[in-house]
Amino acid sequence: MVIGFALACLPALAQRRTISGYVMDAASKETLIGATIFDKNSGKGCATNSYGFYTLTLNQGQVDLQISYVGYTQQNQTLDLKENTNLNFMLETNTTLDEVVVEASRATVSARSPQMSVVELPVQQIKSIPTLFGETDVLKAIQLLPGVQNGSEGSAGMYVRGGGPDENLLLLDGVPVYNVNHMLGFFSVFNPDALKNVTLYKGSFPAHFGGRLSSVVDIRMKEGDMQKYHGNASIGLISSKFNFEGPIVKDKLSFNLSYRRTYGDLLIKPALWVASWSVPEISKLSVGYYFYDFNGKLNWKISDKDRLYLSFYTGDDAIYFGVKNKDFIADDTEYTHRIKLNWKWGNKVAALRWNHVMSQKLFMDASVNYTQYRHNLGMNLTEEDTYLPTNTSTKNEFNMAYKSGINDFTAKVDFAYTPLPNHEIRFGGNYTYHIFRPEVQSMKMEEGQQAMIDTVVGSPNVYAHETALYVEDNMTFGDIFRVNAGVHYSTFTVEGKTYQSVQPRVSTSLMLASNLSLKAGYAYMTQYVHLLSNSSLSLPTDLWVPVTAKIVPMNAHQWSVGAFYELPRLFDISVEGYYKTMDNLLEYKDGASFFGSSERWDEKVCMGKGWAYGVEFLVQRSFGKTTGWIGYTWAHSKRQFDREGMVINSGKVFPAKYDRRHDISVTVQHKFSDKFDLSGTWVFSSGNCGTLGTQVYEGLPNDWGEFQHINALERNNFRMGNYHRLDLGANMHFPLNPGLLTLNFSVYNVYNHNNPFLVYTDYVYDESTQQAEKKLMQVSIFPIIPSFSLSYKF
Amino acid sequence: MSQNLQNKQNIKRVILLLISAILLSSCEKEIEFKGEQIDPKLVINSIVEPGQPVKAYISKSIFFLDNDSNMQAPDDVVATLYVNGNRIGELTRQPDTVWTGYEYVDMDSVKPIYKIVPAFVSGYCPNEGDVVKITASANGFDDVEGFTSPVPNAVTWSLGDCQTKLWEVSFEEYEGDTIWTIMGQLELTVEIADPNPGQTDYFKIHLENGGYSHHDSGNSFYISTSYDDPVFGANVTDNDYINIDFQSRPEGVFTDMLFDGRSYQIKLPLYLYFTLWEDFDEDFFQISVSLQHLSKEYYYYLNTCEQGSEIDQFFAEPVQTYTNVNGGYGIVAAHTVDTVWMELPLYSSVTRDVLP
Repeated sequence: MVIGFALACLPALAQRRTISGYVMDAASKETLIGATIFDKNSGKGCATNSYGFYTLTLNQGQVDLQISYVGYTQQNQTLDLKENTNLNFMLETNTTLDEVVVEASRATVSARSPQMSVVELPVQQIKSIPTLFGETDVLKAIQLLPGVQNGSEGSAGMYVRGGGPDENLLLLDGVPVYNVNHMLGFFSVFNPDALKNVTLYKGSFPAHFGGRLSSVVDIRMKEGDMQKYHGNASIGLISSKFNFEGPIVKDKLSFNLSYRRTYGDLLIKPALWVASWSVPEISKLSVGYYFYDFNGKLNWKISDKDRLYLSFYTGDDAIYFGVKNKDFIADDTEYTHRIKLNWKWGNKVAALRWNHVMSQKLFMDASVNYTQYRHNLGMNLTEEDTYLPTNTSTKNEFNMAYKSGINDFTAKVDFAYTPLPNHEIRFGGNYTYHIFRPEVQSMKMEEGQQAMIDTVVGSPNVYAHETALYVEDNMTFGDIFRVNAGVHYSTFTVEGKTYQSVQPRVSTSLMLASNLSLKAGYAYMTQYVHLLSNSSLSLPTDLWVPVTAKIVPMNAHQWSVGAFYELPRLFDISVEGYYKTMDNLLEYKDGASFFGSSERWDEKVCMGKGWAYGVEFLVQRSFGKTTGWIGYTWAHSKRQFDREGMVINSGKVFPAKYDRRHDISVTVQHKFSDKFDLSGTWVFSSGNCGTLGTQVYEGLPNDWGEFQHINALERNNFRMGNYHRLDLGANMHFPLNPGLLTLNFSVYNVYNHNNPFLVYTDYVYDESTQQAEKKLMQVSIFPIIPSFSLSYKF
Repeated sequence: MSQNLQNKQNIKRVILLLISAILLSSCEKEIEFKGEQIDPKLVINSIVEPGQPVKAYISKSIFFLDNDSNMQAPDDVVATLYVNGNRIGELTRQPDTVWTGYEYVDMDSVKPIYKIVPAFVSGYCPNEGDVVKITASANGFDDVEGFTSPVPNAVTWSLGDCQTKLWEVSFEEYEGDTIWTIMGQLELTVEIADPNPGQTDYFKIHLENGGYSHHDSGNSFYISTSYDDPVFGANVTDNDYINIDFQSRPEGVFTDMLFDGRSYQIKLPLYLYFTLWEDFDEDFFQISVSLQHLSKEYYYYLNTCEQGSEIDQFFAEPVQTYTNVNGGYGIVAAHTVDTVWMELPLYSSVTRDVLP
């Protein structure tokens, strides 16, 4: 890197001046991420960073700047560059219908960028993709990209390039979110109304990212309009949403607030009231489930050099149940029974961020962050017997609470230094204090006045310290060869043991023509936390746990190569191949999650290795009335657990649960007019793997005769049938004064294909032979599902 | 115009019919198994007990879609016993044990099952703390072996007072006889002292009714219990019937997690439903309560037997029944057993006090 830096500096001997500043939306003053600033005279250019800031160092003299951002009208500015200059640009939204409808930012994903295995998804495009129950969803849009697979039908789980669901770093304004799912994983916690930008990295990770093996999803929240108030409200089949933003002090301080909540529990309240009224034994009954998300952001422009952001998010899933039996009398005794259950789980995320332009060439981003995932289950059973003649009562009460979770406190600083137009050096570090609460269960049982049980069991809190330092240099050699090289160093201290890891990263691009490049990359990643889950669904009982003295960190090496071709104003075409090896992966031992909480979690798992390889094709159109992409992935993902005392599957290689050979997705949006647009998605994938018991054998004989078991000798020994589905959506827009009313109608699984969700064996009675025969049965859960939503933008 | 209208109506009907057909189509269908068919494996099932001769049931597994359910072990099976690493000798094959039973096809019909599972025995009686290993081999099968963790020690425990609550007693005359119907509830208390403070111990409570043999008299009964004492934790199995031919296990498994190093009283409710003719015997009301101290692998086995059959496992990685037989299936484990017979206090209260 040092040699590269020196070589790249050689042409930079002329007298230079630096232009720096922000690129913003002219109407809202919201900063634009990935906008390009290009000097036509020198051929030098750069892109704005995650905070809309750019810095460009050019030779002194006449410069002809071209500032562009997809979806916005290009701006040109000429100036005589004599000294370092601060220059902010305000871009106007492009309203020409046949020019741009929805476009992706291209600064980091174009053929010129050395970065590969990265995809940016505009939020507007995410919103236009038809989805289950009409709930637009960031993660489900990402699942449609090559290299990314969903879990089971309808779920928001992500499996990137053969990795597991816990190997994805999901960052909301730079802060990790641990539990990204609502409703067993059918929806994600990211409300698109609150979001500004979504970027997926699935390989060749830049050195500033670390902590997960398989992917980084960098999600940025909207900062709020600095000029005027506006927002939108929508009603859907599952939830309602509200978004409101505007200035608190014009051009100085803005806010953005978003709220989403499901209302199924509110709708069934009358039915419950009728039930409790009509069933004499029940005097009170309440039951329900809901989830909500609340996002907020404050954006304070202190000066041209300083900005302060406060982002926060809170969201929960909750299940509640309460029943009180009506009193009844038998043998002069009055009985009362109450059951109360409160089950809640969710995240809290907060970030206080300070952006400071230290000089024309040096930008600082410092932040303190907090993220929490908590899972609380509380249950109360009360039984009271009152002997009426003497009015004496006995009360038995049982209380149980179960808690688990994780709290992270992070301090972080990142610098971007641009000494020359062909160098952008990023460096920084962070420290995180983790508090893991693996499982704590408290129980209290009282009979009368006597406490029969009063105990707390479970693992004590685990405290861990994680630090990271990194440096990376984005270098350009001529206009042909680009390199992003860096190193990420991290340490993790837990239970008196310190792990450390030096992770080199490099990605390169070689321009063969102005629109054709070859790219190659390598990344070594280390992960210090694990998600313990034994389900294909996202359950609140899934546990985040750290590495221990016994369970060492997971790590992965990933090599990737690819070719990128841009057909101007038509398509972007890319093909990428990857090979990834993973070590110290975890799997539950057979049946281990059910052995009981008296076992330490690290006694229940095995460590092993895995490898994945595949080829991904992507044809993407981001221009014009018709946009979308066609993605295809051919992939393999395998696992092997053969270490002493940690053998699974007899030590033999087996396919990973979401090992699928083929994945195809076609996503198209077409805007017919300002008042009507259509979208459609078709997906096809090879079936998921599963473990199917194929051997029946006698269990222990007991007093009631025989007892049979059915077991599998091999993990993931069965592959379900192919999965395919077509979703369609239509938007009708009705301009109002003021505002815009949009009616969305979408249909999930249009041709009602019975996609496999699970299989089981059953006896099927054959009338002709009058015999019952064992058969394999497949269950599908989502048939054709129409949905609609109504939204009003003002 | 009217023809167009008629056509539109027809099209509308067809569309509605199609939509209805799609929406009402089943989400469940029969599929073909396209996976690999695995060769059968040897199965060893043996629970050893201190002071008792070792006995192992050896059979073979079959393919899950086979309608022929013959699991009889091959004739040339050789089983060998090892204790604490020392070879004790071969186990002797007993005359074949024939089991006849029924498997439920659905709620209304059953399918007969005939199985022959030979038992292999040794005269050797293990002691507390021994590690017992059993191997088996046969032509055409992989060799298999399984071994216990140290055989558990005895437990100090006792049955406390049994409290009675009568719910309902009624009678009716039938052809000159009186038929009593009694519904009642008892509460058993089992007091147990942790045998090994500081280490995890595993237990099972097992209930059995002594009146089973009196079914022919026309008297009938159901006794059920529920394992809702906190010690049973997630292993709660609601209303497991004690004495009818259900494929569930009327036994509660638990650990000493909540009472490590001390004594604890477990509450067990018994729900009774009796239909009695006049000619019943006193032992009709006897039940046995067994407390078993289990080896770790036996506990795992029982736990996974229970969990693997639960419906919520549809969404999870299927729970494989725990097996510690390398190369095959089954369980080789150990326990100590102590059984107490007790007479339900219901008898005297029902016949002498409550019933006329």
